[in-house]
Amino acid sequence: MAEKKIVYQDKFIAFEGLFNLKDLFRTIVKWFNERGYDMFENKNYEEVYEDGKKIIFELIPYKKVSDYYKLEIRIFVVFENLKEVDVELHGVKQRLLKGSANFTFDAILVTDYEGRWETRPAYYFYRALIDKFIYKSYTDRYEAELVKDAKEVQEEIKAYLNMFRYVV
Amino acid sequence: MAKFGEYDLFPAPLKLRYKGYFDWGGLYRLIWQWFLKRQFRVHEKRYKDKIDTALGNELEVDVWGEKEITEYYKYRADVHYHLWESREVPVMENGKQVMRMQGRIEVRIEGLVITDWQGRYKEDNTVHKLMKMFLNKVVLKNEIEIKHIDPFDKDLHRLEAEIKKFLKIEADASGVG
Repeated sequence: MAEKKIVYQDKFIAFEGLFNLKDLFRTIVKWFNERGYDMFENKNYEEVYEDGKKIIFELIPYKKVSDYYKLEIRIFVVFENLKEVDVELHGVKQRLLKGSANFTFDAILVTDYEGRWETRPAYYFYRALIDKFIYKSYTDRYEAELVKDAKEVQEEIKAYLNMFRYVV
Repeated sequence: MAKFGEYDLFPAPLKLRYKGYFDWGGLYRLIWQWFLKRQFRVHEKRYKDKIDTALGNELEVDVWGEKEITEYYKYRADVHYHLWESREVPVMENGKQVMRMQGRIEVRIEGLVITDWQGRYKEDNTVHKLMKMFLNKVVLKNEIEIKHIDPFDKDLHRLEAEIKKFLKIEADASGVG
């Protein structure tokens, strides 16, 4: 079992208004692809009711920076009361969704994700010592990179949602 | 759970859940055709249909496909459907009346890369086990990850994207990557 350290936890974005969900999802996936993350979609639930749609999805993009460190960012999103709305933007008719969205961001640094250093108690002990005294600079560097990426993706999503707030 | 010499593509199965109207027959055919186009041998492990329960029909279908890539590598993909509260209802689509399934559906996709599918290295022989471990973890590590796990992972994500497109799920990243 790998060691997981949560470096960025429970940061929220709440939004209510118009947005293009397909485009938003593609923007998030493209953002992570460009930074070398592999996408893992843990959940993708959609329920259609008479008064609107409810969508829940959880993305856990990850990046294996070495054979010891793995960066994971978890984005959990709940969309509620979504209704389709036809809007004209810059002379082009678009189909947007109107409703509320709640995003939760977490970032986790995973060490020894291959489980090589936990098969014996002695290996676990050596790993703890090396992590604490020798590899500390690498751990700090990757933690900082992970927090930076998590903040950037949060800003990217905020910027995308605000785009519709001021245009429509 | 992957055994020794088998590599799970995903830490947990890819899950999609949808509630509403959908074309069940079309979805079933889509996935079957996906396997056949990629020359997988397809098997249907289970087709369980509980009819006329209080809320509707409950269906559980397990389909899996396998394909030998080389004499050492084999791919296996499992698709599991579970439908609840399902019933066929007439729906107007593009001006025509068609029958569609109304209810809840969950689709789970799992993938596996299997090494030494011919069983050349015997499980009960320690020397064979050590040789296979050395081969998989040292000699062929990069080849397994880059040539086999990554492309098959991307392929199954494309299948997931096709299913989302078919069910008209909003959170769909098809066309990216």
